[in-house]
Amino acid sequence: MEERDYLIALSVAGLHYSKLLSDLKDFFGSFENVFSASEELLEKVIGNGPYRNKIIKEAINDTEELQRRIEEINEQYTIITLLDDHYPENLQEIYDPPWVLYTKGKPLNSHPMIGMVGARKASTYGKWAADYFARELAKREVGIVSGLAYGIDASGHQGCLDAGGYSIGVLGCGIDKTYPSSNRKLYQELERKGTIISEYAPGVEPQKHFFPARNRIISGLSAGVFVIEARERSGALITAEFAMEQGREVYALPGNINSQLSIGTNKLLRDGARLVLEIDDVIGPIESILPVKNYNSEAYEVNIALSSNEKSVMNLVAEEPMPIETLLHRSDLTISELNGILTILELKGLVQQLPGKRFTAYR
Amino acid sequence: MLAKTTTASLLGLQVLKIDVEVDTSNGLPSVNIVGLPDASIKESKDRVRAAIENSGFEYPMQRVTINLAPADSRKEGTHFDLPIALAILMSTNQISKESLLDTVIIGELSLDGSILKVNGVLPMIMELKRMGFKKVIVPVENRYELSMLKGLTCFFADNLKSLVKQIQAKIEFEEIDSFSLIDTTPSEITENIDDLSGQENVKRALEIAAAGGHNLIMIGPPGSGKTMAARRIPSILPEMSFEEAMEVASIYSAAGLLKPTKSFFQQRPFRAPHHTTSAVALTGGGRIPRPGEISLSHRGVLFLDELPEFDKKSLEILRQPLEDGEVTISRSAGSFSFPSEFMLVAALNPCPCGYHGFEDSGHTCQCAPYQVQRYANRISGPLLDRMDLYVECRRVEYEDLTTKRKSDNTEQIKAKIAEARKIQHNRYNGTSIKTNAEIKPASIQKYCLLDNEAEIIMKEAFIKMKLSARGYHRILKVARTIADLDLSEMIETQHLAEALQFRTLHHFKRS
Repeated sequence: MEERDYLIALSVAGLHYSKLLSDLKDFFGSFENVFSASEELLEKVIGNGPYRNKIIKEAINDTEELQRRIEEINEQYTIITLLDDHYPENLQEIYDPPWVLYTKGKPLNSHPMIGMVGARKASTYGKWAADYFARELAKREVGIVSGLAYGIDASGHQGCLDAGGYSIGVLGCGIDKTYPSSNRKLYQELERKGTIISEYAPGVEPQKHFFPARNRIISGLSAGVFVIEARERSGALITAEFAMEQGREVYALPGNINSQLSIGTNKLLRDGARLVLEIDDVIGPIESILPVKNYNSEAYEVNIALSSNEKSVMNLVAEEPMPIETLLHRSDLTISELNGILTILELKGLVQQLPGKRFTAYR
Repeated sequence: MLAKTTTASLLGLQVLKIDVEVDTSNGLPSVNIVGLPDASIKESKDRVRAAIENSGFEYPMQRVTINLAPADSRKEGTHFDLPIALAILMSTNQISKESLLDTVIIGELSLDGSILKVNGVLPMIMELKRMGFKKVIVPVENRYELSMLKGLTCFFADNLKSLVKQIQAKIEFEEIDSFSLIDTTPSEITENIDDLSGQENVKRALEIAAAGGHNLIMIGPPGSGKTMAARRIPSILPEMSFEEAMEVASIYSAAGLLKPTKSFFQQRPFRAPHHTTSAVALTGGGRIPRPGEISLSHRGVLFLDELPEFDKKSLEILRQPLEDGEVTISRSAGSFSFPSEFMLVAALNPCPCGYHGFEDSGHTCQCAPYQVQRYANRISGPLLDRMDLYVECRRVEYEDLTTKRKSDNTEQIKAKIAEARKIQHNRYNGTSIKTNAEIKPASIQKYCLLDNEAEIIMKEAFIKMKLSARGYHRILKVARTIADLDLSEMIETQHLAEALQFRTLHHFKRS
């Protein structure tokens, strides 16, 4: 067994705290030595928490079983350790990088990424913005890193994938778990088109404190973190804090000052985060790392011919998100004509339907 | 001495001709009823004795045997009282044996001899009329049930004494003229689709659903008018044909719910069972089953308000009747089928608090995301698959109420729907299909023809809107109905495009 294998063995055994792994390495010089250390010594280094002790002892006593498990894991997942050459560079830079990463899906690459985070219970506005900016970034070959949770996370991933982009989902539980389970479809799609990573070995159940810890990976993998919506106390703000510590850009989307969901983001803006009104506000600060320079939005827009009725509906929808009845009152169409026109506009990608049968224009 | 009268038995909606045979012979005075009677028939002997004596006739102090033939089928109901009483009077020669040949007798007796109304008169008489019986004696209170049967002569009895006097004197049956017996003052239509001011999209969805017999699901926050909209569906549905009216009236008669008004025989039923309703109350049940809510809404509308609040078992039980148009209930007394071709209209809130996705009106959703998902998940995929139109209801705003726009009124909508139904009737002539909603996936290609342009749109929509195979079929069926409303042979782009607006909502999508 090599040094890398000992490291993975410790991680698989359940020692996923990167700080602790660093301490072990510093004290014993190598992970291999951990396996031959005396119990007293180990206890001295890692404290005498009964849980940790038990894990270590078991790991040391049953290396064969561990090796079997590692082989099993290798069959399904790709393991990357801090000792490997292809460990993501930007993640290496951060304080306390994860020693071991379990990944599935496409191999991690040096694609420029933006971390998109926000409330799980997001508003329609937030979900729309996550989807919209993720799409626009994907068109410019910038990927989205997020946490595969509900709300903003899901919308960001989905928007990016829908526009053909690359996305990374960072889990706060074992790589084999689907949490929350209702995001199963998104997991499957992300596995096909992007990458799912976790610093937790398969079988580890999600725990409350894992989620803030995985946020450092989200910010670590990205060039900047974009907070879409956040309450006053929100996990998204933890990610933003990590981003600041790690020297990443922090972006925030302005929101209604009366909305609970925008208090966090508006405060971030007051404290100096970058204000995002349009896609260029995100792109500008990271322009140097962009693969597609001088992106010309005109060139990508298909020249779409609209009938006069379609134009008049577009003009109405462009004002603000509008329920179908209001559209009906303000246009001179019949309900069946209007329904038809809205479908056509949706298919042309000019209009999006929001819950409550409201329609908004895609910019 | 032996005497015989004719009546009928009703099990579920199954009607049998029953001969009531009475034999009086010398021996210890006793009364025996044989032929699988249930408790209500066994009690009959006491009612009959009291009624005969209190009407001034003589009850035989002999051994009386009453047989309900055929003796191998179970019977229930109190309507055997009158035929039994008359047979006893015959067997004791108080009335002549020939006087009631080929006459169907139905009625319950009270102890003083008056004849009380019973349930199920219409299906029983209809079936016996089909067998060739022309003369019937029924309780006077049940007379309106026969108002639509032509070629029948009836005697409406209100008490035993005068009935027997009539029979002794040579009974005169009167012919009935349709509707002569019921209250024909037109019912005040109080609930009218014109009331849905401002809810144009909902109105349009109701119109399409009614035209094609599609099942409809409405989602919206509290107070958005879902219930109000559903209650107005009967006002735009086409009137029932004679056959349909007879089917419906038979079911209601069996359930004892028939109402003596003309509109009852014309307007389609609308049933709105409460969400605490049990599975048995929905399908029908009992030792000898009675029709449940889904059969009472046969040829009409079954409205389930607050759909996720219904017991899961009750909802799952709807699947088979929705598919087959009838419900089969098996009990110890046998297996019974009731028709159940209804249009299912469901309404629900988007989440437990009711405001998910409708936050703009000053309310915010208080539910955690998993609660929202779980709420939607309470409705099973197979049931959602049977819903053709999805429509979102929004709270009415000031602008909606004050708009000057003219939209179609009830009469116009009703006329359009009737026309579309006629087109469907012609198209499906000779098949088992009645409305577009009933097209099976196998024949979709045959009936739902898209023109070239629409074909392109469909392909694009399938990919962009992530339709499922089932979703695709539903859209085509709805588009077919929209084309029918537009009197168009082919499904054109605008028909398909409109149908796509009523596609499955995202949070009800199942993978």
